Amino acid sequence: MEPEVLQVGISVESVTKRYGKAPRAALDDVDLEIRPGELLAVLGPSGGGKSTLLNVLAGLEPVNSGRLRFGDEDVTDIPAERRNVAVVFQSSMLYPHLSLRKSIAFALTMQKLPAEEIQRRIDEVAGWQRIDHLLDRKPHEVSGGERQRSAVAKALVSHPALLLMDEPFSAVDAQLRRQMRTELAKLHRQFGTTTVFVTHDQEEAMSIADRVAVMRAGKLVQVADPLTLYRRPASAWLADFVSVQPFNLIPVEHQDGGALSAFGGSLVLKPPGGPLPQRLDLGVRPEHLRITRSESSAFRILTREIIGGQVKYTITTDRGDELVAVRSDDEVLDADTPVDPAVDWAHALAFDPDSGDRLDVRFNEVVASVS
Amino acid sequence: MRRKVLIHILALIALIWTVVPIVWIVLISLMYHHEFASADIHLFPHQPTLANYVRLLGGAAPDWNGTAQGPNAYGPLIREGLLNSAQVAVWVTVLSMIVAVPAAYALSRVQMRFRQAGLLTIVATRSIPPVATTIPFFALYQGLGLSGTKTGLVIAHMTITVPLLVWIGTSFFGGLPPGLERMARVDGCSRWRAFARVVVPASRHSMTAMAVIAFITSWDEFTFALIFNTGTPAQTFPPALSSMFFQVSVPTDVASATVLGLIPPLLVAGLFQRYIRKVNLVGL
Repeated sequence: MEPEVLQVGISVESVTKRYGKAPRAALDDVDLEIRPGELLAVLGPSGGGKSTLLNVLAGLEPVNSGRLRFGDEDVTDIPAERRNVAVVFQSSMLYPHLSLRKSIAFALTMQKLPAEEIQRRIDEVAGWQRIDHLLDRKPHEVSGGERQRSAVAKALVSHPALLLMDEPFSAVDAQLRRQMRTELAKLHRQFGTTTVFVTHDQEEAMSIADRVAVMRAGKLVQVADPLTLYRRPASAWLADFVSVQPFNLIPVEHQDGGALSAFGGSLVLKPPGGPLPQRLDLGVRPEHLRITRSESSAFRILTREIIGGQVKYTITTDRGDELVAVRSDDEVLDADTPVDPAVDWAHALAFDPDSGDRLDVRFNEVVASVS
Repeated sequence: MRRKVLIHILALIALIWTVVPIVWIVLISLMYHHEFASADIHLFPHQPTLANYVRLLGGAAPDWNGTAQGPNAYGPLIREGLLNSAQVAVWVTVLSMIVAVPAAYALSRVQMRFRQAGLLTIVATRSIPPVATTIPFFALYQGLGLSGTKTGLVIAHMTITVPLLVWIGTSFFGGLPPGLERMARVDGCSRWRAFARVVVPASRHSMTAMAVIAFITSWDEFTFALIFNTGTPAQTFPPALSSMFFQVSVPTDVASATVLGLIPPLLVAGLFQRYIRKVNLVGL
């Protein structure tokens, strides 16, 4: 049976939310468009405002200014109980004193739906989530994964206009988290309910979302699809935040002949292409920093970590400057091996040293050599 | 393993320490006064009888030698004391729960300034012995006509039970999952309905435990009851038993009155023990 899907676009218009007399707004003039049927991940560090945004969308927190629209309807002043949203919370996903069946049916009971309709919907979501045989158990009588699936069933049973998920997988182990992530992606594909998924885990956000909205200090930093966010981050902070491995941010100085010097001359780079801004920080992801053996280099391997099929190297100079490189080839270099770092200019980024904003600089797709 | 054995031995000692005096009182209450007074101290009655209870409850019963014995003269005092204690304890339980549950809930779940200071003040009031507040209470009650009344005693007992329940309840409600009410709100409940339909049922074990504690605390309270209500028609069981103890030198009668007074709290604790045990297990 095809699920009943309600696809609604959500508009957050200049929303500001301040708690009491706090000096900083938890949400500071946030504008966000969530497309109908989209899975949007809201990513950010602790205190970034992502949970506040979720609470505001759910109607659990009033806003100080701005408007919220679900489709054409202005829901700014509509309380949580009348917004037709469902939330999967981080801590309490089901009612601890009720069986899974009663927990799932709770919202429908509050809507005073006929008993037959409630039963039909429970059977429907329980089938999708493979929890039919668990419905008469209490939450503490089922496993973590079954609890998660039940929570999602509870959220979907009321056919919400908007599904909000507040770090729902943070309390489960890594393996189950990966499994749940895949299940959520499948479920979203099946239902297409507009979904906002709050997380502080960039890997989680990047892997399942259609788009990722990054928040920091109550402000929306960038909204983009995962690849754009990774390849064209708005700032050095964001480049580092969405990076799986530590991001190399290299302050460089211009030398004669268009070369760039870094780390007191330990590293001299010759980027291809035209003139560069007078001042810039060079941003290079570890997988775009290539290292090769070179006895004359100022860099040596400090540590190496084998991560799956890749090896992550931290290289350093005598001054203590450090860079991180990741290699996927078969050769594994030992600690203390002298190496030359080279930048894959096709993926290199340039940032303003003062503001940290990304500069619109495109290096040619040439791997520059180190002099 | 050795630690486990040690814990079991300590638990057994604690159990004997607690239970033996009660068992002994029960056994004495089943003896004739003649047997208790004449024979050497012994635990089990040679000629077990319920005569002491029958006489205390207003009936007649034969003595050890078959001589007819009329009702116990202190029977009315004890029976009235039991009834008054039950009424006072039930009112104290109900009113304390009405006051303490929302207060504990608010203190544990609502962000507010001076929350910790408020909690500490509440705990501090528990460190004041009841006798220290009897003079202001007495003066106040004289003026308000509450001295020697059950209403006065209910109010006095609530000064003990409310802070106690608020303190316990704050810990109980604090143990509830933080998003519970938010989930109920999203599911269609107003704030009040979320409290009534979700928080209260989810905390039913804790609230039952709180009610049992309030009942037993009030039932056992002696100081206020002695000072405000002794010798009045509103006298509760503890001062009534005390009067009987000091005025009658028949330990078997006093023992049977004591056992009668033990029954209600034991009954309440026994009836609700499965809830109280769950509180220990899951912290709810």
